[in-house]
Amino acid sequence: MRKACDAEPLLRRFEAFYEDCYQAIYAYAYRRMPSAADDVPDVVAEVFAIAWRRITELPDPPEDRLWLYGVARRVVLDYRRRAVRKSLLESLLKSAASTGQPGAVLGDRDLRVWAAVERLRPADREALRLVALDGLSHAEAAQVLGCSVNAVALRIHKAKARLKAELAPSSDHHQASQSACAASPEF
Amino acid sequence: MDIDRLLAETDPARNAAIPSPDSSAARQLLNQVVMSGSPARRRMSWRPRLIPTAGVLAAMAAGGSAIAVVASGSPAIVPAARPSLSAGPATTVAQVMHNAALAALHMPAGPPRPGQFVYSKVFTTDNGRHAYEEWSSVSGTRYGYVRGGYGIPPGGEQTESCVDGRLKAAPPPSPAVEPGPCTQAESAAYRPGMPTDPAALKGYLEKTFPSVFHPLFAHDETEELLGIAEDMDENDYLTPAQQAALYDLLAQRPDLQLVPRVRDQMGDVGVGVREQFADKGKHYTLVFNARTYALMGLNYSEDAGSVLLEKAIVSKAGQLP
Repeated sequence: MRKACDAEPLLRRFEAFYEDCYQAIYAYAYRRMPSAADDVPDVVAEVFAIAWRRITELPDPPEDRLWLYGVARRVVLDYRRRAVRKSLLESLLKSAASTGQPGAVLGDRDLRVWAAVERLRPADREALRLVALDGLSHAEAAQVLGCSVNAVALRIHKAKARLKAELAPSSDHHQASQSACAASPEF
Repeated sequence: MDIDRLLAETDPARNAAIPSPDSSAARQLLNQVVMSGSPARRRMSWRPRLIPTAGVLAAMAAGGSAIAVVASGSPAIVPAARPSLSAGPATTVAQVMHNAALAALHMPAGPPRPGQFVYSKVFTTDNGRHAYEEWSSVSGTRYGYVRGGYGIPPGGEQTESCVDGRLKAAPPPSPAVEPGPCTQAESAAYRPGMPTDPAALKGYLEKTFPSVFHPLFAHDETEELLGIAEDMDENDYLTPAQQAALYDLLAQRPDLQLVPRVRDQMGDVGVGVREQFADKGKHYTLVFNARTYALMGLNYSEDAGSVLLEKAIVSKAGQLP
């Protein structure tokens, strides 16, 4: 009885935390493993299982959310290490091919942008995604990545400049990079 | 081209069927998680505890700075022994890192002033061979500058700064930069409060980046330390003593390998200290001059990485040393 009483506040806190962060973490994982969408719920489950086991060590808000992003980052990285290496484009094209309508499910523009983002240096890519897609501030992204806000700003600055040049319609690099990415995308 | 808008429009998650937290799928997952185990009991402290041993106390009494740290579940961080540079080639990771720490201590010292800039010139083979230059505000409150990177306009461009607690783009304001909150301390390229001994540095990192340096992630700690070494190398400034402390901390990592002969991305040969990742062909290698143990560069893989060509403190963004 005593045990149940002790656990109750922890459970309440965890449920509230889960409800606040569930969709953000789901989207975080989905963005980093779009070609393995079926595995996203497993990754999300692992993230929250760690949070539940460590609920007594969770930092106070608002840092608890950044801590959870840190957990998610590790779980996704571990997943990527464990998973059979497969090409992002290969998987996406397979997906499109299975519908018989290449490009119907995913637009050409999506593929171009995703491939260009995948080609960014990993540190630059993660900083860009955290801020531009996950909605973190530079300072929050710095917390999650373990670097200075200055480093985050520079990473994002360089990543955007690179994407801008690479995705410009007249970019010569575009054609070359399209073939290159089919050969060695990261995931 | 508005890159933020383009990214939002092509966000892989934008059309994903992300369940609401009230959905049956989300509730079911919550139940599974809660039923999967009980919360671990709070540990008394996961931060390193300073335990002065008799030898350490003697060294402290003698004016030394030796400190021994024991962290639960972590290898002990031993004093930053300062042997003189060995005459022969270093044959262990610890020797290389200690020699690198000694070399760092002999670099020109002197903390930068708040109004100054950290200038870095970096050669990279990451997606093409090119060099770029960066000027980072020492205080974090002045606009930085970047020149020469892929996609950067030929004349270079200013970078964001923390002004009045908000991150601001350089004038004319870029629509891409949302004025997020910031603090000067976080935005500064130089952290005067960063400790200069490895034990205190570890505690500092755990306190500053709790979502990165947490016992839960201990297996990734080497990778994170190498990432910090990279950031500090390219973007920020460490005093010689801070850099030496970082190297001394890396010297304690059991999962680093010595690579007696490795080329940096300019083709120069040095001695490497490497963390090999599970991903095929991927690793992170610090390359040091095998004679002076000055840091030459970082390799992310066999054919990608960077070389720090020059680093200096200058008075203005855009000014060369």
